[in-house]
Amino acid sequence: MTAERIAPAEPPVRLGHPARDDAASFRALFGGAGTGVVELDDEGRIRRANPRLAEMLAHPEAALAGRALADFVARSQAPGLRSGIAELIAGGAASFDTELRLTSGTATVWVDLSLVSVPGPAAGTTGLVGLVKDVTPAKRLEIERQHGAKMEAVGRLAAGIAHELNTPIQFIGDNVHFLDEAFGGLLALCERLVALSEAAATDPPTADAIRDALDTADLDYLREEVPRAVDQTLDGVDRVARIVKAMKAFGHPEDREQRAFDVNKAIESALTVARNELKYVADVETELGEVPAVRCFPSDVNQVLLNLLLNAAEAIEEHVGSSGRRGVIRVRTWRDGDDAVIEVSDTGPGVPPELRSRIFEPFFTTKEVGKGTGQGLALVHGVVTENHGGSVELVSTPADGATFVVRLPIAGLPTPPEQPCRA
Amino acid sequence: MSGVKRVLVVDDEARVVDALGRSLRSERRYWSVTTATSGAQAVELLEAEPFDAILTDMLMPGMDGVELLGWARERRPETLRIVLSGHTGPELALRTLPVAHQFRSKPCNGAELKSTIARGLMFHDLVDDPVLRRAVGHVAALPSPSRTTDRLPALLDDATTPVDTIAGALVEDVAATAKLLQIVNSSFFGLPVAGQAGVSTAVRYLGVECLRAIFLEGGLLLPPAGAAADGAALATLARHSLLVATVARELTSDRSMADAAFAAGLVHAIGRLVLAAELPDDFVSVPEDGDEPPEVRGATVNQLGASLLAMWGLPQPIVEAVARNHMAPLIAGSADGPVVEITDAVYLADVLVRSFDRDRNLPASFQDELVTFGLTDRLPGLEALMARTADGMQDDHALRRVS
Repeated sequence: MTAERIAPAEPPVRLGHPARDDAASFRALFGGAGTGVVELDDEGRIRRANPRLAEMLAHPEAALAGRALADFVARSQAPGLRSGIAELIAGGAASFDTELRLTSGTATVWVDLSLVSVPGPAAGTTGLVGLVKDVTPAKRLEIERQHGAKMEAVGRLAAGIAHELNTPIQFIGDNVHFLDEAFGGLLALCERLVALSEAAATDPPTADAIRDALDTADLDYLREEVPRAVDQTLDGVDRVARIVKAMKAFGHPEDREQRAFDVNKAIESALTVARNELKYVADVETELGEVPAVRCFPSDVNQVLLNLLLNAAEAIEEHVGSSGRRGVIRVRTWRDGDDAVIEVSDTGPGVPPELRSRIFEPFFTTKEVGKGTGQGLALVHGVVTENHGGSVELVSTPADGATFVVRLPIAGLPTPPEQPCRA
Repeated sequence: MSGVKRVLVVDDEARVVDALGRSLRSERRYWSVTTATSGAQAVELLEAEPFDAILTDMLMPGMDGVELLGWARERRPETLRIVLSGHTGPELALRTLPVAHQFRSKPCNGAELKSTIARGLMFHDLVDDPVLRRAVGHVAALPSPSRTTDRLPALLDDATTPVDTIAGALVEDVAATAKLLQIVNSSFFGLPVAGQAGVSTAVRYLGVECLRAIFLEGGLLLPPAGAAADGAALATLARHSLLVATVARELTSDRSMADAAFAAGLVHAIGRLVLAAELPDDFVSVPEDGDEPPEVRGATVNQLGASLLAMWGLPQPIVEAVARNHMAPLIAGSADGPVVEITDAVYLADVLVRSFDRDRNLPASFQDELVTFGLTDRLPGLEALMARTADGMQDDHALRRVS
C-alpha cells in the first residue's frame, strides 16, 4: 500500500457545512433515531426529549419539558447525576458519561448517558445535549451472570445446610424415641407399684416384689439420662432454629434500597450457613469489633461475606489437600473513620503477585477445573465497589495466605434529602 | 461369648452418640453399646476388645469413617460394619462400598437402626466358626466369570445399551447380582432403602451412570481369582445359578414373590464364591454329587452364603431361602392346593436343575415332593425352560429373555 492512498483524500471540513444541513441532520436524528436524545437547561431540566427517550422514560414528550432529568433515575443515582450536570455547566468538565437506571416506567431501563455542554438559546447561557443509549439487554446479561454466581454458592450451601440440619434432627429423634420408651417404662412401674400398694392392705407386698419392679425399670440409668436427653433435645431444637434463622437472613429478597444493617450479626449468620463447608478444613476465629449499623443492601453484603468465606475454605482445602491438617479462617471487623472494615483471611497458599491484579476478574480462577467458576470474587468486587461505593483489597504473602479487606462506607451511598420519584 | 452383642457407635458429634446409645438402650438385654467420638478412639477400643457391630459416621475430622472401616475390615473383619452418614453422593458411595456392609442416611429413626443391626447380626446364627466369620466379614467383592468381565465394561460404556441388556448381563453373574442387591437395599447412593429384590428394577433404580461407577471405576468387578482362577468353575456356577433362578421364579405360586425367588436363586450358591475368594482350600464347585450341601467348619455352604447376604442387608426372604436351601421344605402345600414359597421354590429348582444337568433322572426320594407341590405335570415345561435358558447363555442375542 502506498502513502498517497492512506492520506486523507478529502478536506475534513466536509462534515461541518453548510449550517442549515446541520440543523436538518439534527432534526432527522432527533426524530427518528433509535437512541434517546435530550437537551437540558442549565439547571438540569429537560428542554426537549426525542420520542425514543420519551418512550424510555414512559412519559409523553410534552409532559417532560421542565422536569429535572434526575427525577427519572434511581434514587441512589440522582445525586451523582445532579453533581455531574452542575460540573458541566460550571465548565469543569468537557463531558459527563454515566450509567443510569430509569425507574419511571413499569419496567426498569438501564441506559448509558453521555452529556456535553453547548451554548444555550439566550446569549451567555449554557445548555446541555446528550445521548441516552438503552443498554438494558447487556445489563440483564450481567445481572444474570451475577445471579448465576450467587446460585452456585447457594447450591453448594443447600447440601451443606441439609447436613447441618441432619445432625440435630438425628439426635433429637433418637432422644425423643428414648424419652417415649422411658416414659412408658416409668408408667408401667407406677402402675405396678399402685397394684402392689392396693394389694398391701390384705397381702403385704414383699420387699422382693418391689425391688423386682424397680430393677426392671432401669431407674439409675433413667435418673442420669432423662434430664440429659431433655437438655440435649432442647439444645438441638435451638440449633435447628438458629440454622433456620440464618437461612432466612440469607433468603432475604433482593433489596431495592439501602437499610441499616448489623454486619457482625451477618457474619455470624454467614458462618452458621457455611459451617458445613468450613468445619472440615479450618477452624474459624472471629474478632468482631464495635461497628455501627452500616447503610447497605443487606442481601448483597450477605453474598459478599459468603463468597469470601467459601473462597477462604477452598483455598485452604487446596493447600492442605488430604493431609488431614487444618487451616485457620480469621474474620475481623472494626470501624475505621467513616468506613466499616471486614477482613477475611485464610492460611491457604496465597495469591502470587502477578495474579493479584486479576483475582477480581470474572471467570478468573486459580483453582483446579471443576472447583470454582471464578465468579465468586468478581461478584464480591462488583457488589462492594459499584453497589456500595466501597473497596476491596487483597493482601497476600505465600507464607501467610490471603487476606481480603472490604471497606463499606457506614453512611452508604449518598441519597438526596427528599426523593421525588415521580410527579 | 455371652449372648449380649457388643455394638460400637462412632460419631464426632457427642450428642449424636449419646442419643444413639439411649435409643438402643431398650435392647440392653441383647446389646451393650459403647460410644466413641473419633475414628482414633474407635480404633483404640477395637484393638482392646472385639465388637460385634460398628455403626459409624462418615465425615469426621482426623480419621474418617472410610479409614476406620478400612482398618476394621483388615483387623476385625468379623465385625458388622454399618455407616450412618449425613452426607451422601456418588464419590462417597464409591469410597464406602469396599469397606462398609451397609449404609444408612441421617436422619434415620431408631426403629430402622435397631432392625438394621439386628438383621445384620443374624449372620452370627448362621456361622459360628471365627474363621468363617472373618472370611465373610472381609468380603468386599467376589470374582466374576470372564464372560462378565469381558462383556460388562463394553455394555456399560455404550450409551445406547438398553437397560434390559445390562440387567441380562448382570444376572449371569452371581457376584455382580449380589453387589447390586446389597446396594439397592442400603442407601449408599443416598437413595431410600428399597427392600428391593428385582434385578431389572434395581438396574433402573440406580441408573447406568451409577452402575458404571460401581463396577468399572469402583473396582468391584473382580476377574476370576483364588481357587476359581481358571474361570471354568465360575462359569459353571453362573450357569447353574441362572437356571435355578429362572425355574424358581416359574415355580412360585404368587407373582409378588417372583422377583425375590429369582434373586434368591441367583445368589443361592454365593457361599461357594466366598470360599473361592477367602478360603480357597475349602472351595467346592457345583454341582457336587449327593443331595447334602458340603460343610465347611461346621456350616453348610448355604449358611455361609446366607451369612454374607445377611451382613449385606438383603431382604429377609432371600437370606432365608439361601440358608435353608437343601433342606426339606417347610410348608407342604395347603388345602387350596400347593403353595410354593420362595424357600421351597429355590430348593425345588435346585434339585430340578441338578438332575437336568446330571442325567435327567430325578432322585427317587424327590418323587413325593413333586406330587406334594403338584409339579409332576409341569416337568416337561420346566425342562424346556431350563434348556432355553441354558441355550440363551450361549447366545448373546437371547440375553433379553432372562431379564
